[in-house]
Amino acid sequence: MSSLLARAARTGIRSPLSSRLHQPMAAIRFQSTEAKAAATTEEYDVVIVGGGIAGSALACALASNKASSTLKIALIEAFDLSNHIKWSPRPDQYSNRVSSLTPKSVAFLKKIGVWSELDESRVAACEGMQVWDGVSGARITFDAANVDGVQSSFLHQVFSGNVPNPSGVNNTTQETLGNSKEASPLAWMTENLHVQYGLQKQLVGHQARGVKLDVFEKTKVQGITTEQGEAAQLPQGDWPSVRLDNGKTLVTRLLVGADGVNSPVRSFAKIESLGWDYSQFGLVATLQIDPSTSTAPGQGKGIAWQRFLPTGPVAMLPLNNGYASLVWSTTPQIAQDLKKLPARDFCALVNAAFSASPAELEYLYKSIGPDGQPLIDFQKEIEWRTSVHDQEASQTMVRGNSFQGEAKPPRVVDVQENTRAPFPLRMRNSSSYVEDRVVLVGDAAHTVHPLAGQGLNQGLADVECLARVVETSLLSGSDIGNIHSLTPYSSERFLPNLAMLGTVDKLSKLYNTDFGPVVWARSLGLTAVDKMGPIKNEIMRFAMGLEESPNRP
Amino acid sequence: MASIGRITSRITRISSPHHLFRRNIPQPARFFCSTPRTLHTPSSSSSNSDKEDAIYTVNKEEIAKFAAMSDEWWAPQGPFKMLHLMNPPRIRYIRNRLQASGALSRNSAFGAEGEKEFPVGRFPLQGLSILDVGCGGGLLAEALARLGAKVTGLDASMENIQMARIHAKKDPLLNGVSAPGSLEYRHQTAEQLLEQGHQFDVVCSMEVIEHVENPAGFLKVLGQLVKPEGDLILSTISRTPLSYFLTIFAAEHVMRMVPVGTHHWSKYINPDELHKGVEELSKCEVLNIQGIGFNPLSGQWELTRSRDGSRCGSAEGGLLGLMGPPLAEASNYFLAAKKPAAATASVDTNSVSA
Amino acid sequence: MSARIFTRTNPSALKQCLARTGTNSTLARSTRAATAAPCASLFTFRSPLEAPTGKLYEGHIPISPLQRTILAVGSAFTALANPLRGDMVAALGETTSGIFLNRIRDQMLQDPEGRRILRERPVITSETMQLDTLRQLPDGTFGREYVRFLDDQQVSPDTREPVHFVDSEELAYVMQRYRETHDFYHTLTGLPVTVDGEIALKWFEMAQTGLPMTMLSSFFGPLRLSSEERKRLFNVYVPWALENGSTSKLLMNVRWEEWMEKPVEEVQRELGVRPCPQV
Repeated sequence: MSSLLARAARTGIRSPLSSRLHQPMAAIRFQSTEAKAAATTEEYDVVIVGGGIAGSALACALASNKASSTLKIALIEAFDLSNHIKWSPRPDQYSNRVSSLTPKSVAFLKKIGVWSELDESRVAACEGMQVWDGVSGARITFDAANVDGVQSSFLHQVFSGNVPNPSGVNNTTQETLGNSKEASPLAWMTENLHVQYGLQKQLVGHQARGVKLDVFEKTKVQGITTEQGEAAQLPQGDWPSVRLDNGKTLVTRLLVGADGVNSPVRSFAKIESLGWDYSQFGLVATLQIDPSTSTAPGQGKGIAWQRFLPTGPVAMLPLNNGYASLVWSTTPQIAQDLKKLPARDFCALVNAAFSASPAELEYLYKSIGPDGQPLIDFQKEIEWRTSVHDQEASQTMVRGNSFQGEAKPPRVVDVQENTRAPFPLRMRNSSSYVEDRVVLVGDAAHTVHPLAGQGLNQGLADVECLARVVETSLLSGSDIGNIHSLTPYSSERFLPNLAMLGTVDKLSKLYNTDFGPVVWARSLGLTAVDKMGPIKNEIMRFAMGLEESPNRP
Repeated sequence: MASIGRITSRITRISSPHHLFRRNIPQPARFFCSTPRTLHTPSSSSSNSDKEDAIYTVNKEEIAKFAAMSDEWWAPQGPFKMLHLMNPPRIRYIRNRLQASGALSRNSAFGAEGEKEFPVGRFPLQGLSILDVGCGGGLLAEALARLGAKVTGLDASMENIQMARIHAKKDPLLNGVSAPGSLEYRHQTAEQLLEQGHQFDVVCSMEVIEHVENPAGFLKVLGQLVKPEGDLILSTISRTPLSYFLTIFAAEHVMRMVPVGTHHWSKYINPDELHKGVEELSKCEVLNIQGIGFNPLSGQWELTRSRDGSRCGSAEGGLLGLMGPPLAEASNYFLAAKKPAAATASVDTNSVSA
Repeated sequence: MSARIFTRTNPSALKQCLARTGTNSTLARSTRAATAAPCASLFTFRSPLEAPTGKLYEGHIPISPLQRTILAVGSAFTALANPLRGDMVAALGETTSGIFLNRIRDQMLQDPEGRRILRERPVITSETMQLDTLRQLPDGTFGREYVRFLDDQQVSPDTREPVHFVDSEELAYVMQRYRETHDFYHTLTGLPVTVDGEIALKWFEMAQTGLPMTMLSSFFGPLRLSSEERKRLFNVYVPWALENGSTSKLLMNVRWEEWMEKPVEEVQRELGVRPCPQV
């Protein structure tokens, strides 16, 4: 027999989390005329680099599908993953990284069995949104009760190019929404750690029932290579080799980059990442609020508030039990100052961010000393300005569109310690999501401004699509790493992601200025759209990801 | 698509250094309805079975020599891109037909030792022996093998077989060890295989019949290669103005998706003609005819309308219902047939006129 | 509703005009019926025929956007014809400066002094300024020169036109403060109270605040000058005004009441203003 092929029993390297029910099957070991250290090279069908939410969700989805659960999967993560299962937070403490999950994402999480692992008390439903312009006060409100659940979003059909099936029924999200008699919330808010908890539990469960899923945690990728030229014709010659820092090398049929915005997998595939950095940082924090101070119906329970300031949008996302998550996009200097402010002044400033004029806020920003201590009495100044506003508001009778009579967000009373953290904001899109034997998902493929809460949802949509595409190509007998097997993923995800990125970017630029004519025009537009129910409906459905699942025979 | 190899080799014959390996000089093609022609028979000295072992052991020189051409077949954006794109619907069709005809459920009763260990969900074709006549570079054969079948690929072009073998070696799933599927390529004709007494559970011949010299004889041989109660699955192109427009004018001349000269319109076969041929010559019962079309918007091939059972016999639809095949089958289409249980057709090599 | 109404010093004419276009006038009622609510409110922030607020402060006359437009146009013509018509100049300023009063107020909010002024809202009248005390101050102090200026011109701080048409109490105060401090600007810069002196001062204010009314006066005012006066204006005064106006501290943030006892030169130095060249 040819010397090119050799058979040997594979010595399976087990991760601490796994337990096997049956012996691993014999596998082909890669050898070439140059001797390689045979014991440290392992062969996989899918190697996922990056164990964040996107990577772990992909591993989970592959392990849940009938055909792809027979694949040999590896998940590589530089940090600790097994810790997530031990996550047991206090009821009065919330992590500062909170994401809003659209109904589409939730439907996917339900499908892969993660949703049922989550603790309901730490998942808050968002039933409404109030978004307004910080300069002019023009406002738009969204209410979950008004969103139509059944027919697919026209915008999604246009952007994804799918031929809708004649009955117009949405398959996966339909399960979540029941039979559309009851309104689905606009989104669900929960901590990223919570979702990771659910994902890791599911992964362990899959390993327990025999799925060949190896998790390499606390392991970094040192390099990725592939053979060229003649060597590429040898068995597995064109398969990427991933070299880990623990000495092992993984050779894989399909390499998935779920490794974040500076993806090494993307660099290996020589895929360009195009985009720009916003001159903004996002500051997150966990806030304690006083719901009784909100003038919205129901004391503002389940309402997300977002105000567009010229420096960037400030948003308050509802959590349970009188807590809320803050996402404040602002200049790098202000973000750093906000982090250093004493808690009391920080809370006063957050309250002012939702009510005071941009000029007043400017003064407050300037009055923060280099060490983070305020140089004036924030409370006093803010109280004075608030009293002036309130007095004017009470005397103003604006007919039709009363800005001063609008709902107010709840007052912030405290900020949880050590939860204030700034991070840089940027927009990135890869020129391509797929290459031969390489595919990108999540932040490795695209990064977006957080103002619309879409980043994680786009990543989960990518993962759902990729898992489906892999399943389909397996059932067609294709090589799952072949570019023709991966192209359906790219066609389905590229355009919708680009559309979302573009829209969010334009919104960010539109609201980043206080130039008079622009403010007037955008306020006019916003007020007009607020009164046009069908258009608002479409926008919400686009943001919620309510769409057709592609109709493949 | 066996003759793709022949045609390209004809075109490149002078320039290519590989013509020295060619034994089989192709005859000019003629219209189907004319008197049966001789099937292309290779010269007796060309039996390559003694070469098989030598070919199996591919050494570095030959890798280098065939590397370039292998790239052509398997280059995803290369001249065979449309074939690559057509593969998933083909496989889906084959699986659906095998499911419908009961081949898969019978298969679960098969059980050579060790085969049951592989999950049926991933390897639905395990236990089946499949012959792909005119396998070309092995696009279809590899997919079938990955689904668990024992596939034999046949092609009359040596280069194609070499390419297919080299490519198959790259994927460990195809070596018959880590998965139930296996691949074997033979540089032979269908008649030679028949002479050796082989029969298969499933015989496929995709877009080959419009390239052969003697389609009638070809159908006879195919029928004999199918085991009783086995399946015969063919695909070809109808002879209609639409198919000329799509497959020759648009695909070859305008968009250059396939090399010019790949197809000859006069050799296309209509569904009703093929139906008749399969029933009478191959002695198989036609169960289903289904069209397939390329959707330029999605960039994918999509299966169109399907006709089952008794409706296959009639040449319905077409231009004003009077003539020609229905629109769904006006270009590329599949035909699935099943051989009856009673072994009425014995392996009869003498019926093939020399 | 022609400009003719305004060329005569006739306060009642203004009231007639307002009555004819007011909320309950026939014009308003018929227009209201014609433009049904959805249409009107869809693309405007407020109805053009309703005054947006009630009476917010002493002297406030709430007017609708339609009335505001009419008043702005009318007073512009009148003020151009006769710049000494103080009430028309005032009306023009109030009807056109809505957005930019906001800007001045925001600029004041950026400065601790300005904030103090907004919070305490000092008014300048002959009583609060204690003119008699100022007359006792030594020559060369800001207060003494200020009173000398007032006596020469035979005006007093009480003759300023009160604010009528600004729909916000705080902004009305800003407008009032702006007017009240006008005399201090003369004292500070040394500009005479002639037509070209006033225009030069308007250029100075334009460089400081960007108020549209200052721009109107700056660009249309010189049309009424003789060519010699215009030459002097553009060769001497305007360059000085632009240079000093843009580099000096924002004068709206100055608590003039506290600078009375300082010498004029010191005040000028601290505020970054060179005295105007005397021609």
